[in-house]
Amino acid sequence: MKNVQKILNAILSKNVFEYLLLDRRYRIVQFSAEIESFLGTEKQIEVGDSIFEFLPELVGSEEKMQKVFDGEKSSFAITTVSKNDRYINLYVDHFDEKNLLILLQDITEITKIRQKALQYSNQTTLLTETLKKIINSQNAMIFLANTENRIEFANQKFLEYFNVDAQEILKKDLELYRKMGPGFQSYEEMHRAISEGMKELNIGEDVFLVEAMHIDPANILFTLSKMTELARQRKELQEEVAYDQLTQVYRKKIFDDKACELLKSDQPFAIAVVDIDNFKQINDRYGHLVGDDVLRSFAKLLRREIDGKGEVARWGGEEFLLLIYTDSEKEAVELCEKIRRTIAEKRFDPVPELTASCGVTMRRGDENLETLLARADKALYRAKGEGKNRVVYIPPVD
Amino acid sequence: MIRKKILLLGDFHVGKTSLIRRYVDNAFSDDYLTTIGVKISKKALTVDAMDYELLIWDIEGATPVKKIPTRYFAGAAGAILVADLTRPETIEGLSEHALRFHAVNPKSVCVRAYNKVDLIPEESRKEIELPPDTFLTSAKDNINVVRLFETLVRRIAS
Repeated sequence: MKNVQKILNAILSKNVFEYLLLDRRYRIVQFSAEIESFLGTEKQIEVGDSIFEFLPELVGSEEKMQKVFDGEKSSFAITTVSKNDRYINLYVDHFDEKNLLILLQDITEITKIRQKALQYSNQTTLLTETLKKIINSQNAMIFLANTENRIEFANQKFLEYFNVDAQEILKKDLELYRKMGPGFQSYEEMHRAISEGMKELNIGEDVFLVEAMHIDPANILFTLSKMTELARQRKELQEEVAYDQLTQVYRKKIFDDKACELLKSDQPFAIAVVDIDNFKQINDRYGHLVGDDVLRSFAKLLRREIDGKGEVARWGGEEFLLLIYTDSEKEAVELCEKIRRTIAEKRFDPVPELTASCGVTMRRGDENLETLLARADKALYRAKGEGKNRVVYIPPVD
Repeated sequence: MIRKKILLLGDFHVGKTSLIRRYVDNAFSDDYLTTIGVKISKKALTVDAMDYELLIWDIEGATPVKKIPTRYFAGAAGAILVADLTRPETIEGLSEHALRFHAVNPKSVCVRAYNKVDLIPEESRKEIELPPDTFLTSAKDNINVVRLFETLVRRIAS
């Protein structure tokens, strides 16, 4: 009675239910008038036909149907079945001890809407998967951080480098920005530094080329391209360019750059030109290889003596330049005098005796480097003229 | 005639519907239309002198947020587990589909289809490691489709 009521209710509520009644041998004993057009059957349904001929969806459900017959189970359903260009729900209900009721509900309209939503969702998932693959295939570390210091996404390279998994990184603020560069307080601060011109970032021993951009007001996309090896090679190259190969002191160009930097500021300093006395005779007597050894030892001595007080450069041949950070001409002259004495006392085997002359001057006012060098050179010339192995100071002209 | 219910299981967009369409109607379309719910196709075939009618259940694929409903699995004699060769995660997902299928049908058998092999260059296909009863298939180029279904029927028969 309950089931008859169900049929009636369904029809009255216009839910488009069709129905079939089956016996225990799964033969059709009764059916609704529109069932054939509903199912789109080629053959006319007749009492006594097997239900599996018209509803193969029930093949495999014999055990369940038996339980419904026996009252062990009151009903079961096979939902969202595509059939005859429509979608149906198939309900198998207990009717009485001899019969099963099969109700067919048309759910085409709602299912087509669901299908559109599912199609859109699946296509979006596919697109997301593809984008992830593209991002993960990149050599750079890529991550998206929000303004609340949370990482919203990080690619595989990033996760591997920081040894975190994709879920862990989303959970909380791991403060990874503290490990980057000078130790930032937030990703926003890091972004600001990059916007203001920071191009490279150090993480431990590694160097990264870094880029950042707001992709929307709340999210910043960072790209970190590892360039540790490149940075090392660049440093080597810079050193090769900066240092004189034979003596390992600065080349004249670097000396000029450093002196010009000081000239731009108000910082006082002295310049000295140091020249080995009678160096040509050493080359002539002992050969150029010995001459080179002497230059190396001489430069080493200068480096040691000037250490922390200034810079040493080779001007050319046996002539060296000293940049002395001092505001006292007395201190500059004393340092040069000490260097001269140390040279005179040191043995430069196989040369029995070696001396050097030195011309010193102080920076004053807005003089340029050429003027300073010319004055120091003049002082050196005077030291040579006065018998060598001495320090001559020429003060700046007022 | 022996009637058997078989299922095609796998993640969404791996080509389950296309494999059935190729096998049943010998047709193929590049258009992607997501399967929702289930659609049953019939196919009569003879394997080793035995006549069969296959009821092939094309079941909505699993998505990251929705697994395949096991209510469709009841009474299935076998399943074809389908993966997309261009999406490694769909191959990894096959084990879980197999587990869920066997939980409902412990005595049933499975074969696997690594589908869309037409998208893999010929020279790279040899390098693909294939577990037992796994076929490189293409619904588009009709590669191994009949063999796939017939192998499943043989496994069911044995």
